[in-house]
Amino acid sequence: MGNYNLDTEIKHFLAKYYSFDKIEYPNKQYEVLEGKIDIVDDENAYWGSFEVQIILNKNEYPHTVPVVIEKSNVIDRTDDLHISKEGACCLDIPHVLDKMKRRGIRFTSFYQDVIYPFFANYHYHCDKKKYANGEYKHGFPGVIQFYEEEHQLTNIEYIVSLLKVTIGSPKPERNSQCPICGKPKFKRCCGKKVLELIPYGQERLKKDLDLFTYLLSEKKEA
Amino acid sequence: MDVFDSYKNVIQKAVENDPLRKHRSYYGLGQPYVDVNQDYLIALRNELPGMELNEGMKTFAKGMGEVSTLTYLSLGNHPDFSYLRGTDNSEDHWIISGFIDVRKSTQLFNQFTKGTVRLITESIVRASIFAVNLCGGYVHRIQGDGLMVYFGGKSIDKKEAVKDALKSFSMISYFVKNDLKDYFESNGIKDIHTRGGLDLGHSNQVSWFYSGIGDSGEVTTCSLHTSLAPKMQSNANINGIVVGHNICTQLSKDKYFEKRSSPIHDYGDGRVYEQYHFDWERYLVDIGLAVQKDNGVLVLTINALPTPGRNSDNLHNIASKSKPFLNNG
Repeated sequence: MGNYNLDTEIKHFLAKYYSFDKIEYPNKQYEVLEGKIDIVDDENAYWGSFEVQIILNKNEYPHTVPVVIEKSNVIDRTDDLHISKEGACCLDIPHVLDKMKRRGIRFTSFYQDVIYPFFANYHYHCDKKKYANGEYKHGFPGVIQFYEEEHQLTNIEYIVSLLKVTIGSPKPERNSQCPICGKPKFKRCCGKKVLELIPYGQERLKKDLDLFTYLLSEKKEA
Repeated sequence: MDVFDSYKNVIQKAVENDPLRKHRSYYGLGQPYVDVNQDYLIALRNELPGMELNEGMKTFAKGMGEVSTLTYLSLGNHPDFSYLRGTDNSEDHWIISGFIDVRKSTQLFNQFTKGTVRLITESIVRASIFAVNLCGGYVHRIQGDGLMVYFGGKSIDKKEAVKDALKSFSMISYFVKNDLKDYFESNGIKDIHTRGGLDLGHSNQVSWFYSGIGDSGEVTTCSLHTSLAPKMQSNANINGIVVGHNICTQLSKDKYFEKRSSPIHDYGDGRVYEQYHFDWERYLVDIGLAVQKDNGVLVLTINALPTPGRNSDNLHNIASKSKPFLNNG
């Protein structure tokens, strides 16, 4: 069923985006597309193109995140441009990508909403010397920034407590006392934040808990 | 700047200043209305690109390897066969015949004065003539908002002429589909679209001659394939182009052609002549005359060179969907 959907989606994509083709790939677990992304702005001005390879995990689709490799070497391989030496593009923070993966992606929508904007943003950055919607710091500082900007969470101790409850099982009853802040109803206080974090998945949140716990211990020692 | 912007701008100005539209409440629906804005219409007509191309068109023409001034020849008198005019002679020579027109354009009369309709039609015809001439074609006849054209001649390679014809009809289809359709729809004109038909007749299939008497005539072709081209045009989908088998075999690229379920001609001896949908959008992208936006919509470009004077503020909408991260810290 998953393969059928990916086949249909790729067929739909190739019928819409003429610069792309499906290529043979040694590992049959993956479908690989190669083609050209043309960047055109709202006023139909053309900025340039990127040759890319997009790798999709056939077995996991739609619960997968496509890997995008920039093959034309238009983008300098520097960390500041969010690309690996091999050209793998860091499309977004893993939390956002994990959330998409858990929900399931539609490849054409992913192309339009994630892949294409990444390359448009490169041109924006070249011209303005900044990204259109900012950027995350590299590594764990970027995760801290994500919690702050997306969830308005800055208190490390509170984040650790929140993550413990989010990962833990069973979850507190909605109408019971909040185990984090002690207020009478969990659903009216920290329960909302817990619901915001759940879509990132246990695996991601466990990693975050380890990192924030380590950060907290370091702060306490200091 | 889009190569067809000058034509589109004139159409927009004509529509926006149409007296019937501006004063509909005053004059009332259905009330006969006499054009009172003749001077304005004449001034607008003069804004259409003439023999001398504007800067955007010059850049585009240069990108295609054409000169900045096009030679617009008189109709019904193909230069390579004009010697036949007024004679009883004929010559067999291959040619590509094409028909293209704008469908559903009669709706324009429901919304605008005939002066505005005249200017809209004129703009579309002039844009089409530009596209045909830019691609080395010859406009044989104008009929309302449609054209009959020829591609080919004595000093042109047949395969190149086929490519030119496909390129030209693709550009005209692009103009109406991408530049005009949405604008017309926002002004209450639905489903405006082009339909095109193209076919190639080889030299043993085409006879050039002078049809008519005295000055009432034209140098034209007698060929099954000239006659089939308008039939194929009428079989085309919305914004579609249908081509004959002879065109298909010259390009030798199946990915652009999809055979229609029924042939266009039955020879009556067991043989049939096939017709094909032509995927002109894919063709424009493949030959580097168009690029695709995030949603797949085509934009004409000059051999894929970045647009001069582009402004990154116009990238903000699409770029701001992305917030990159690098997980190696």
